[in-house]
Amino acid sequence: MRRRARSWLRWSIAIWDEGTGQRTVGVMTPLFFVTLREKRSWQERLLLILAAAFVALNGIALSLALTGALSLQHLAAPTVWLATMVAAHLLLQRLQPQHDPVLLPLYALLTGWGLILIDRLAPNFLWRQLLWLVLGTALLVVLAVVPQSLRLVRRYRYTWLTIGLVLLVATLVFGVNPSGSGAALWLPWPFLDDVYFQPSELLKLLLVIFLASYFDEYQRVATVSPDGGSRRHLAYLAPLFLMWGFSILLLVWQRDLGAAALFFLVFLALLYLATGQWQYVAGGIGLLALAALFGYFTFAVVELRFETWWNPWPEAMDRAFQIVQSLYAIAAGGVTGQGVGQGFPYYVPVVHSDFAFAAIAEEWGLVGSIATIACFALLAHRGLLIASRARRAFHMYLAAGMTLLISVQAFLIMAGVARLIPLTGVTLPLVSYGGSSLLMTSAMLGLLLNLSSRMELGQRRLRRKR
Amino acid sequence: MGPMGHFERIQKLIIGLLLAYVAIAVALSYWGVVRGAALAERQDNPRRVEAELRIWRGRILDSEGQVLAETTGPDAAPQRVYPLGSSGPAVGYYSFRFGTAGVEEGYDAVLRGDGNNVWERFWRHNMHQAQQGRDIRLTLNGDRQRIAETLLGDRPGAVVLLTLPDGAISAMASHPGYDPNRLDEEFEALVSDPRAPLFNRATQGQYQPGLALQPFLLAGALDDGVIALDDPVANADRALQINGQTRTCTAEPPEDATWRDVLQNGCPYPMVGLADALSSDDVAAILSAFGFTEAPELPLAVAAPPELTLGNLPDALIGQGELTVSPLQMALALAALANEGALPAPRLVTAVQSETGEWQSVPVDGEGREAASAAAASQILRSLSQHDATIVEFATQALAGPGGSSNAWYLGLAPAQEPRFAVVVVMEGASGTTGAASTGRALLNAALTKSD
Repeated sequence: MRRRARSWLRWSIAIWDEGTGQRTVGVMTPLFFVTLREKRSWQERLLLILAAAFVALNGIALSLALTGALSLQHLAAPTVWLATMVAAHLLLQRLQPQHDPVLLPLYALLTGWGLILIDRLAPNFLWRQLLWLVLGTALLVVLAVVPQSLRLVRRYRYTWLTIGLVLLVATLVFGVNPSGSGAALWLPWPFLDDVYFQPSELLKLLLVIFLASYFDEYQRVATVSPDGGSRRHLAYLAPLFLMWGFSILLLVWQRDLGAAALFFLVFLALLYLATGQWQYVAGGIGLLALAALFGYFTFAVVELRFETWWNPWPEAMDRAFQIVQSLYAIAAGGVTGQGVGQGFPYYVPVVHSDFAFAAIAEEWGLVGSIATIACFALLAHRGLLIASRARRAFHMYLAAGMTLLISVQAFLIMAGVARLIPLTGVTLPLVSYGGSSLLMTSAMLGLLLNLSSRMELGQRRLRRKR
Repeated sequence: MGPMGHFERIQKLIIGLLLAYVAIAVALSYWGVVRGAALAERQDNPRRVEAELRIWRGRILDSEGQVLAETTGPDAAPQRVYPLGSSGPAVGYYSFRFGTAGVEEGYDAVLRGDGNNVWERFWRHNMHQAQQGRDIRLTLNGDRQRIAETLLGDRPGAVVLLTLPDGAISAMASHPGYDPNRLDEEFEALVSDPRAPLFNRATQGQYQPGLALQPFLLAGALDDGVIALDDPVANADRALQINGQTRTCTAEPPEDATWRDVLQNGCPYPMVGLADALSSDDVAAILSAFGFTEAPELPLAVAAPPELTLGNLPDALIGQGELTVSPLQMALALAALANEGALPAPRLVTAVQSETGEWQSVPVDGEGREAASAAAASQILRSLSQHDATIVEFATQALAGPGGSSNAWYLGLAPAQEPRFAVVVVMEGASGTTGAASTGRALLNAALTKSD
């Protein structure tokens, strides 16, 4: 059973590095023999071309649908996007040739799609988002190619966590909401007018870094003293309660339901990865249910989200307006969608951030929304594969944690929009409008690319030893 | 390499995440496909409004092909335009905010172009084409309509002009009215106006008929064999006290008056005497034969007459009982007299465009049902007073309630031999019948001139 499971994983890895039983680094393709490095480069290039074709086609379609002509206004952003992605591709090929060839095209496709959506739904945010995208891509490339980035991340983990917590406390005290009302989760950037940062986005990454190093260390403790007994349990139970308390605090102080749920779910997944014990996870889910129950009776926001999820119809024009409008958008999309620029997604409040997925469902239909899901599923798969092949436990936890952060967040909002679970108020990673979220997701993908190259180097060293 | 077992755990995490994602896809398919149609149909779905706003509503044409209502403007914001302006009550209105009324309401499904062609609907939906409405052609004549409105002027009341023998409504004016082009701006004021300008007095008005019932009741009495027009009538010119008001003949009858003289001079007193000869069932039968007890069959808002109770038979016989009638009902009954006793069904639409764009004419609904015998009808017709040898007419004043105000009725047919037009005028609070009569005569003359 164990062998078979491993071979299942190997097989999906083997798509990229081993041909049919060949032990060379090169691979036979139907047409010609290329080195592994060349093949990866071509794969990434091909996938990027597909993503660019999709974005270009939709940019042109949007321009035609909205203005009846090809207008610079709608084609400029995709052009900048294309230039950014080509630059990232070339830089990564040159400086980090062994990186995973799927992640950058996925990043490109989702952000490009996001730009089209923002142009469609909130055009006055387009240039701001484009600027964040260029900065985010730069951060991605830097974190992917600078070898020291992972070491810095690990060495200063307590510093990072402290900075994150300080920022969080600062948000509790000085936080604002740029839209004027709602949860005050933002801090104004110093020296910049009308630019805000959401520290909880940074905190997500910092917390994953911290948890990765924590599990890494305690695993060693557990391995050194296998009969650690109650101490070992405590090692896992203490952070469990700590995380739970932290999530509750987020909820109590900031009413940030999404971040609280996300932190706790990712933590539970990491805890399972570290211990392999369902009891912890079950206990954690029990605690989550307890917190939900407590929140339901204590906080209006939790009660609202739950009740509008359970039965939105009686209050369709009132408290449940947003989710009902989201379902109407999905219904209007049908299988093939209304076509970009031709539906009415702006009936869904804040459609450009939390409900971008509803707009995808309306204008691209089931085809588009399931394609989006598939993108996130592929991202999760690639990320967790990188985790599974990491040579160091810290790297494994880090890769898994970052991947889970992105994919669980995507799940929370996509499932919320489709009324599968109550709404949690997080954005769709890479697609939704939001600078902080885009920047941090880019950073995580940069680190994942970095980890994927390391893993390759390691494997090749192993092969040479054989 | 991480500790043993991590491969399996990661594999389980991958499977867990994939299952969660598949669940989203299932939920999306449920809302998008299984429940899609039901959600699209919900009243509070704003996309219904968007689809509604994009409908290219059909035109309303008059009998000559003149436009009475059409949709113009840019595709994104079509506008409903009514070239006749003041024709509000006759044509009705279409407003996105305030709905529809009149012909716009009665033929809404046709004008919107609601069809059952599944393929066409599928195509339109997927091509994002606006729903295309169908045109209708009315019996209304724009010129006569305008003349009727001008003649009525600013006197509250209603005018109905029918063509004979098909009972087609050629004009119907109602004052005070409204301009459907300005409905959105004026709606609140129109609704709260105590004079009820949105109300089409021609079809919805409920007026005390007074002695205007006389020709019809006498026709019924002739058929019942109770009277003959040459029978002498005693005390024909005697005055009658109704609610403290004195009513006598409109013109002095001769000494040895007959029923013919009674009718010609509009004498009320002899009608009361008919109560001895006719039972209330007889009177009810006559009134219902002339269509006074039921609403005319039109796809418009028409007044449903109150249930007929002839509590006080003498009052009922002079039209001051509980029965109230609309000008349209009166015009149809008048048409029956000119039509050898056959009561025509009212007619408003001559043709409707089919889904493929061809005109399909709406046939005349039969010969009409018998309201009186042809003999009785022609006797009554010949006994009515004439004006200029072209118009056969009957005018009277009816008490319109306890306040003492009265309404003038004018019933006219032209030409006198073989009438082709029937006109009914009601003027509210008129002190005499002169205004109503001159309006009715002018409209008949205009109709005759135009049609010659």
